[in-house]
Amino acid sequence: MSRSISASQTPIDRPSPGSEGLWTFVFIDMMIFLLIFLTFMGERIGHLALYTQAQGQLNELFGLANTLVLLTSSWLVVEAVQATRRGQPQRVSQLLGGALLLGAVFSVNKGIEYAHKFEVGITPASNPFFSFYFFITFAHFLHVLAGMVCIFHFRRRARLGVGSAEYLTGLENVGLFWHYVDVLWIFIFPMLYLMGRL
Amino acid sequence: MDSDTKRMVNIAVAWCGPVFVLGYIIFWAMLGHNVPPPNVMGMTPEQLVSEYYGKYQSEISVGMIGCCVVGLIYTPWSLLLASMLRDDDGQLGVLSMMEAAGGILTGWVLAFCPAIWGTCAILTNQVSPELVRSLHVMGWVIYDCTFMVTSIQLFGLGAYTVLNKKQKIFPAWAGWFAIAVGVIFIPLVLIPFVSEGPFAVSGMWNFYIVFGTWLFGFFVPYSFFMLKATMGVSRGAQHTLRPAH
Amino acid sequence: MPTQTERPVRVWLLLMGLTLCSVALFEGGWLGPAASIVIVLIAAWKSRLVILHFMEARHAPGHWRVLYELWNFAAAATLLIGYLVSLRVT
Repeated sequence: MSRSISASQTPIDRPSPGSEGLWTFVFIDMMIFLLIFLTFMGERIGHLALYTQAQGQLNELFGLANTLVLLTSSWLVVEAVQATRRGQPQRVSQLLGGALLLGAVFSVNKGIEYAHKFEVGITPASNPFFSFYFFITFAHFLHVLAGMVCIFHFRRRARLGVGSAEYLTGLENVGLFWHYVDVLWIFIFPMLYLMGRL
Repeated sequence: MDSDTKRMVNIAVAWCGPVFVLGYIIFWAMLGHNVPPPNVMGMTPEQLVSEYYGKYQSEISVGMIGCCVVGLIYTPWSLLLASMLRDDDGQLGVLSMMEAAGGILTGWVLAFCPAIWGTCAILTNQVSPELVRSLHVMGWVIYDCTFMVTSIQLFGLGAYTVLNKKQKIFPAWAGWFAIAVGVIFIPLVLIPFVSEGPFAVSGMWNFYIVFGTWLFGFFVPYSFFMLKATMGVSRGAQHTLRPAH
Repeated sequence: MPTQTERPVRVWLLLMGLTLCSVALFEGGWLGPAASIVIVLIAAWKSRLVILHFMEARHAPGHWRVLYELWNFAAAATLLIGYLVSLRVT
C-alpha cells in the first residue's frame, strides 16, 4: 500500500479503517477482559457484603475524572485521523499532542489514586475486591501506557507521514486501540466504582 | 539424515505434546490431587498434612515422581516448535530462541517443583508439619511466581506468529492468543499474599483460568498445528520445516 | 466508507453528557438499586457510540462490527446479570 492520498481524493475511494491484525488483536484482548468481568461479577455474588464494603473505600471522582479524560482523548484522536485524511500534518500533530497530554493526566490521576490507597494501608492483598481493583485498573493502565507510546510515535512522524496511506492506516490502528482503551474504562468505571453503591 | 527420517523424528517429537499433557493430567492433576491444589496460604501446617499429604500420601508420592519424568517431555516439544519458527533466511532469530529457552525452563519447573512436593509427601510422617508446609509453599512460589519462564516462551512464539506474515503453519489468531495467555499469568504474583478468593493459589483466576487458558488457549492450538505440519507434509517435499517463502 | 461529514464533537458531547448523568444518578441517590441497572445500559450505549463512530466499525473489514457489538452486548449482560443475581442473594 504505497500509493499516497491527495487532499482532493474523496473518502469514498478509501478502503476500510485500520488493518485486520489490529481488529483481531483488540478482539482477543476484549475477550480476556470479558473473562475478567465475568470472574469479578461471579465472585462479587459470592461475597457481596465484602465487595460492597470495600467499594465504599473507592472515591468515584477519580473514576469519573478518568472517564472524562479518556473520552476527550479519544475524540482528539478521531479528529487527528480526520485531519490526516484531509492532509493537515500540523493539526494532526496538535491533536495527537492533546491526546497525549490527556493520557498523562490519566496517568497522574491513577498514581495519586493508588498512592491514596497505599497510604491508608490498602494493597492488592487486602481482600479479593482490592485484588481485582488493582489487577483490573493496572492491566488497563498498561494498555493506556502502550497507547501513549504509539500516539507519541505517530505524532513525531506526522510532519513527514501525513499524506501516505501507510501513515493513515497506522494511525487508524492506533486510534482503534486507543478507543478500545476508552471502551474498557467505560465498563470498568461503573463496574468497580458505582454498581451496587445504592 | 535423509528427509524421510527427519520427518519421522519430527512427528515423534510433535507427539510428545499430547503425551506430556496426558501424563501430566494423570500424575499431577489426578494422582497429585491438584484440581484444585490445597489453598495452602489459608491452611495451618497441621491442616496441610491431615487434609492433603497425610491423607493421600502414596498417590501424591507416586504422582509427583511421575511428574519429575513426564514434566520434561514438554521440552523436546518446545524445541521442535522453535525449529519451526524460522526467519526468512532460515535462521532461528531471537523470538524463536526465546520460545526455546522458555520451553526448556518451563519443562524444568514442571519437573522440579513436583520433586519438592514429592519430598513433602514421602517424608510427611517423619518431619514436622511446619517443614512440610514450608517446602510445599516454596514449591508453589517457584511454580507460579516464576511464570515469566512461560511468558517469555509465549511472547516469543506469539510475536513470531503475528509478525511473520509469510509463515503458513500458525494462524495469526493463535499468536495473539499465546501473547494473551502470557499476560493472563501476571496476577500469579499475588499467590503468596492472599489466602482466599480468585487470586489465591487455588482460586478461580490463578488456578482455573491460568491453567485452563494455558492448556486450551495455547497448548492445544499449537499442538494441533504442529501435528498438522509435521504429519501433513508429503515425503520428499520436506527437507526442513521452513516457513513458506 | 468513512466520511468527513460525521461530527465527532457531537458524539463526544453526548458521551460526556451520558457520563455526567450516570454519576449524577448516584450522587443524587435517585432510583436506588435501579440506578446500577441504568448506568450499565448507559455504559453499553456509550461503548456502542465509541465502537461505531470513533472506531468506525461500520466500515471495518469483514465481520468485525458484528463481533464488537456482540462483545458490547456480552459485557453489558455480564454486568447486568451479575448485578441482578446479587440482588437476590442478600
